Amino acid sequence: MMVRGFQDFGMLKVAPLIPLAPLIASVLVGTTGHRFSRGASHWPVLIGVALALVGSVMVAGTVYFELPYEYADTYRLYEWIAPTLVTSFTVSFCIDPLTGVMLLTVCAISLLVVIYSRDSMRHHGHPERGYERFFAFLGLFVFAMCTLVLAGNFLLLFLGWEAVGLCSYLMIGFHYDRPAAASAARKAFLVNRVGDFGFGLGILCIYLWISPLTNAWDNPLDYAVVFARVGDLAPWQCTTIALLLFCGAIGKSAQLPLHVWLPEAVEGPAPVSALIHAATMVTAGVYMVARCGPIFAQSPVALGGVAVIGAVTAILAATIALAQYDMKRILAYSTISQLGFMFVGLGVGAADSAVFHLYTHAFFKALLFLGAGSVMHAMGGQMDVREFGGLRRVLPVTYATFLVGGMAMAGVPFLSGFFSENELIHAAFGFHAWLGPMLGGLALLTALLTAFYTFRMVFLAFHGPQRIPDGVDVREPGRWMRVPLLLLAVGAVVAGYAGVHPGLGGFAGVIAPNGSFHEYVRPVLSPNTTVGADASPAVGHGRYLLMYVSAVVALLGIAAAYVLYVRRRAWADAVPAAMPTAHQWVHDSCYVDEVNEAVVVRPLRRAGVLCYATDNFVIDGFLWLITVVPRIAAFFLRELQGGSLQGYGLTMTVGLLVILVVALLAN
Amino acid sequence: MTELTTEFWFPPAGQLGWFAPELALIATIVAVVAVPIILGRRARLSACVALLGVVAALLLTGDVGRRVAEEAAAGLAPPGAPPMLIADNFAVFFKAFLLLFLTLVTVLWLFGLTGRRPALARRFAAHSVEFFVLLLGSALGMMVMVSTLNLLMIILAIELASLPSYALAGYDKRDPAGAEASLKYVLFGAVTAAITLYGVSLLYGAFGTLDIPTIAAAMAGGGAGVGAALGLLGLCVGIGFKISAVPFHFWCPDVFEGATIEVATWLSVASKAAGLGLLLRVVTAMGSLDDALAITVGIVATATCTLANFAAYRQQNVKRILAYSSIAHAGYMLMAAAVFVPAASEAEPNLAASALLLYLLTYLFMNFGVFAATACVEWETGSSALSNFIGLGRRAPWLAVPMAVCLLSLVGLPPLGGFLAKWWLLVALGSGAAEHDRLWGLVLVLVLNTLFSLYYYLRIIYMMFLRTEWSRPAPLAPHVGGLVLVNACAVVLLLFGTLGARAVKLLADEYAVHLYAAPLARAAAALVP
Repeated sequence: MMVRGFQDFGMLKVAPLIPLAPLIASVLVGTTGHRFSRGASHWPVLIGVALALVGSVMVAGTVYFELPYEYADTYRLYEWIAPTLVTSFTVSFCIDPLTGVMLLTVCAISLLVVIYSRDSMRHHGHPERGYERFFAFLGLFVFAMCTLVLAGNFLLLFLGWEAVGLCSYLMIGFHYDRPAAASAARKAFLVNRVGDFGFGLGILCIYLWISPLTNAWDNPLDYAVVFARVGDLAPWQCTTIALLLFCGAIGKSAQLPLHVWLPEAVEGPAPVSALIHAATMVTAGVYMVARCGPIFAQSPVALGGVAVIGAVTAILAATIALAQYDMKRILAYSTISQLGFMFVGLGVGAADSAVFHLYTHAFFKALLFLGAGSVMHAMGGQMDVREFGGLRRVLPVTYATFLVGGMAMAGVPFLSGFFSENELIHAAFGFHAWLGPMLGGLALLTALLTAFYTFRMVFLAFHGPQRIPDGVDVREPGRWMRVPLLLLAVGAVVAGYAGVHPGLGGFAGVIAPNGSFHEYVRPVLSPNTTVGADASPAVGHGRYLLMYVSAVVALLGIAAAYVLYVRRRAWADAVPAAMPTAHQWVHDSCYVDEVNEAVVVRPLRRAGVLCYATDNFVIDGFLWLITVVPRIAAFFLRELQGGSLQGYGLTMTVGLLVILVVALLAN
Repeated sequence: MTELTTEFWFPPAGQLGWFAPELALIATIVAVVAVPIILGRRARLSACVALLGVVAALLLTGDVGRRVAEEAAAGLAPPGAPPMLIADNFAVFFKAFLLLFLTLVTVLWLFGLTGRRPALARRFAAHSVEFFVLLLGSALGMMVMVSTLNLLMIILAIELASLPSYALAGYDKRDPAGAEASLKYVLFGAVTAAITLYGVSLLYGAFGTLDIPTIAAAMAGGGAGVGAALGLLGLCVGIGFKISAVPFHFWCPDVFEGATIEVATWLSVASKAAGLGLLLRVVTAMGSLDDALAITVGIVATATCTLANFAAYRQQNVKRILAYSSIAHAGYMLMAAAVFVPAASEAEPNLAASALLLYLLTYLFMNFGVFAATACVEWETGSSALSNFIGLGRRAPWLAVPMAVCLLSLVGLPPLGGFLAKWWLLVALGSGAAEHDRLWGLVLVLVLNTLFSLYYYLRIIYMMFLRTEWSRPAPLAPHVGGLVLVNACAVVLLLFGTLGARAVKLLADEYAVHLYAAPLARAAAALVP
């Protein structure tokens, strides 16, 4: 653990390029795009993000092959007011395997989404209104996300955190003339404020409690400093910090009760949903909790809280997804549910598995969202699965890739989702004497529901009799959209193999968990990995048993969906009819919004009225009183400077006399 | 006590070499007069000759700076006597600063030739030779001001800087406002010069020498008296006039409003910089004179910035607002002179001096930026009334945005250079306050005044961006060169506040060491027994 310069590590010199290249591209497109590049605006951003990806590969490779790796190395790039007492504003990067994984995931998915957007943001070959704005925002987002991931101290992390939030707001409200989009953007921003308030408080607590423990020249917000000193804090302090930080994660990663913004965020364009609201930004909370592992490891209470909130969110969101008809909303709820899974992993101490799931999830969820976007593009903006169906013949590529993504998410064996999800369930079972089995059971049930609702969507949209809304000219998307879909489909299949040992026995005789991915990230995450230690491939037939169980569960869910939505559609329709209240309840997201409104919004609004009154009468009045003095003074001074030379001379003489008296009295 | 040598003495070439920039400037003045005789009177030609000369002087300053760093700081001194003129780090900084600013002002003048409407431009260009002789002359005076501790040279330098300035203020003699401003300036200058001379003669009478360090040493030896105190105050009146400290500031708003914008720009920074450099030199040479001088300077600084900030509130002309703003900033910078924190050793940077240098450097860019922006508006619309700035954000965004940046920097908001300038000043005040509690008062004054000043700076920004008129004003097409200057200033300020923050601080530190070559007299006795 040390603070270094880049010069020691050749390849790491490209690290600043990773956020800067997309930023430059974004500024270029944002300032000159409407005049010059117009329909070619995707090129600068594409190149910028591609450079960022190249940089990420170099950085991740250097971390893997060259660094004598210790723990949380910090590279200081720039200090604001350098030789002074205030050292807390520093631009420093933390480059370690966790950063490497996140960078690779973010940049790879971003690049594919940029490529996809080129056609997705066109209608009949013409760029949509705001085409250059879209790509400027996209570049800005990649910059912000890379800053967040690379940050080596909490202040920079917070800056990146807020910047991705801003990008999310701008992107959800991309079609700002649509009231639904504008209101969804506002909601996302406000809900995130609630979480970020806690996050900010957490950082403040870190600053206040850590700085007395450190040397004067250390930045008390540096990861390395904080993680080294966090053991010296009292347990209640650790718990407070951890829970406050987790507040931020709840908001950003859409966990109960702040998940309400994510389903509405699908009002943004489909590529944005894929990138920001499925693959990358929403996983920032998971990344942050994993990064702050040393803090959370000090507090079993906080860890338990993370696990419980994750499990409850997972099952709740999966249940709500059962009763949704909008494809993108189903996917949004599934994202919430999958993020819940990751938090379960973090809470039970399997941070490596959580990050592994983050990584596989990015591929298949981006694929599903882009597939949904492709359907939407073909259906002329229609997303409701009751309005169309049987599209597998007219959209074969979309169907095939969507099916692969769905299978990966449902946990079908040998696809990426299966490996990571299974690890999390296993870790949950082994967590705690009685809490563990409960969490594990919930997770298993969620897996069943996930398989079911995913294939409900697949079957409703692509199987059955072909139904296409009137006046829609269905065409398979263009090359720019097809290529990312195919690449992501490949990713959804093979990404998981980074995390297993193929051919070493284990599941089905060929798959043993804990592969090179885990070895790569373990140096960072091992201090707060409790399960990882005993999860070497040699141990535990129980783990393999669980793998069989979850494989059966996934197939069961798919089979149930097949029966209900392909074979016996009448049965499926009978369910809402039989339980109208329950169905309505689930369809309306279990009324979490309404509870929030009553518990948080209304009291706040009342407090707001009070604050407004105070501001308007007390503070404004006070300020008015303060400004009276300068204004009266200004009036007299203006008279003094009236332009008459005699007046000037008199005033000067009097002033000089006053100075004389002062100088003589000063002795 | 050293006697002044009475026989005629001509400095050897080696010593004159330290003052190559000044000599270059004198040569330029001659060239500005001579070249039109050969090539004919053309405004552009005069400007280009002046520009060449100034750039040459700037290069020579760089050379002198290198030599000062290598060899021991020296000056222009008769054998066995204290130096008449000093060549040291501090002087080099100020000379380079003044010459850099002179370059910018000359460029602005050149742009003004094409930026103005043709009729005005012809009138403006009519006496270009005289203009540059006067401008270079006042610059020469200012350069001498910052490199001497000899009373005679101080008087000479102040007058050399002031006399051309009076003429510059009324340069456009057909403009009644300019003539009036010039007259007021002259009268003020004459009165303060008289007081200064009186003070200096008192000092000479009391101590029989013109060398300030010698006087300081004599005072430290118990030679101080009421006469000496009066003499020192008289000297400070002259300096106060140059930096327009309250109550010697009355000329400033009237002159800025009446003079052409180029002249106002020149006076707003150069005159103050030279005065502050001289003041800091005098104050440092006097050592810790039992606080009397420091307290006086502190009180004058407080009065200066507070009164100026209040007086700026109701002004309707941007040049007048900027005049008060420049007075207020002079007040802030005076605070640096009020901090007596001798550095631990000669080789350590003096905190207050370093803060002052950094502030000046930042102030140059923010003030020049705002003035150049105002010039662009004035060239186009004919006046600098605040109403001409309404809707500028829409009419000329490339002018309004950088101007707003410069204004915000003048307020002192992060992440701009103005913030760090104030920050380092506060650091200097704070570390001085560790020894003298009264300096906390100055900290408070600085912070409160920043708050007060927010109002009138934001008022301009409000006019430019938020105020909407029912009738849409026509778009403005500002002079391209002016735009480049303003934008460059904004970028520099942004750099000073962020990426360049460290470099600027190190630069200021570098020139704040070895504050002056003569031995520092630390007076133990009181100014007035």
